[in-house]
Amino acid sequence: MKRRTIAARSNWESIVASQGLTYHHVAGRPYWNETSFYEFSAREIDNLEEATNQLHQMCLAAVQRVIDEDLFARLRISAPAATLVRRTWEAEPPAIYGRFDLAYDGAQIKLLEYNADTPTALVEAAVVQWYWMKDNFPGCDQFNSIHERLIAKWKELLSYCGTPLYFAGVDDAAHEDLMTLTYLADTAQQAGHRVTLLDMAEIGYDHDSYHFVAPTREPIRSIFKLYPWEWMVAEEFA
Amino acid sequence: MKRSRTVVLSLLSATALGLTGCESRKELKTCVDPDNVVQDDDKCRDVDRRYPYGGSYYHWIYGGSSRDGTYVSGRSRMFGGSNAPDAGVETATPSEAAAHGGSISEGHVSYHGFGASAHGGESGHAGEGGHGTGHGGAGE
Repeated sequence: MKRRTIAARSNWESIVASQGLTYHHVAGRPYWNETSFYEFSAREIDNLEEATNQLHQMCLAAVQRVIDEDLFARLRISAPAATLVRRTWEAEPPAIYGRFDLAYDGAQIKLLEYNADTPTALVEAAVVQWYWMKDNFPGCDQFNSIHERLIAKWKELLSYCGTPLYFAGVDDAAHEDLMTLTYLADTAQQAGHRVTLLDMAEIGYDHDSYHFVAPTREPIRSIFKLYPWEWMVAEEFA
Repeated sequence: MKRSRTVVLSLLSATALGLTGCESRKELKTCVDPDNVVQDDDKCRDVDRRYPYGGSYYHWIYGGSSRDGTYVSGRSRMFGGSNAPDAGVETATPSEAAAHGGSISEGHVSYHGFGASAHGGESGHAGEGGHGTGHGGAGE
């Protein structure tokens, strides 16, 4: 792994914003920095992928242990939420994506965090760096296929998901979550789903039919939410 | 063999252009105290009624972000933004912007049962990303 320096594209802010990275600055400082990049060998990438897959399996094993040994209280997961966790674990609904934060020095790989609930940094990893690479090194490869794999996964789920497929979250001034949701919805749409974006507050509950409903009062059959479970289980609809 | 072949976007590009272009938009306003800690919107609405020319304890911040990862008594602190909205831009609180005309309760259907935690509640950020500044983000 080599760290290289490079000149930023002259109009990089407008470029990345048009690609969905509207939050290229945070608190007045650049969040997106394209004055350096990392160059990997194929073997290094293979090692990272293998480690990531192993870590995912280890995280699943950890959840299995929590369930088997009823360790929910130690994780501050309430009894009603634990019931839902068990039920979901048995039903195995599809998982779309998660984000591993790894420390890597070219040899050792260390897990810093696994965010499998509300991961962002997706637009950056799947879209913006790809276009950056095409502008600077059109013959190179970015060594990830997040975009293609998301579309492939959504295609797998065409018969599983209800229509429309909803994407819900909250927006704020930086629009990071909105752009992440919109990107995911874009990939689902390309896979053939009819998609609808919602704010979390727009989700309704029909007390007669016991359904969560859209603003149109249509029952929500399938939804992707970019909103923490620990918030949801503490709110009114919980 | 190349791993990533092509990234073609339509919905994302259109949304991004809508947000960064010259189309009409609403600027989010957030009620804060003098330390920029997010407060219930009603506190600022009361101030608007009593002190229409501003200068009070509670006030609105226009734009800005709650993503600096700072929390005071369970509430997020706003970062950036300004004390006045951009010229010619409509303003709305996050909950107003979220409502899109929906009401709190219509017949036997209730809305707004989710989302409160993100709007001046315990925190202000749902997604956890690469900023290193967000709630529970990579920078923790």
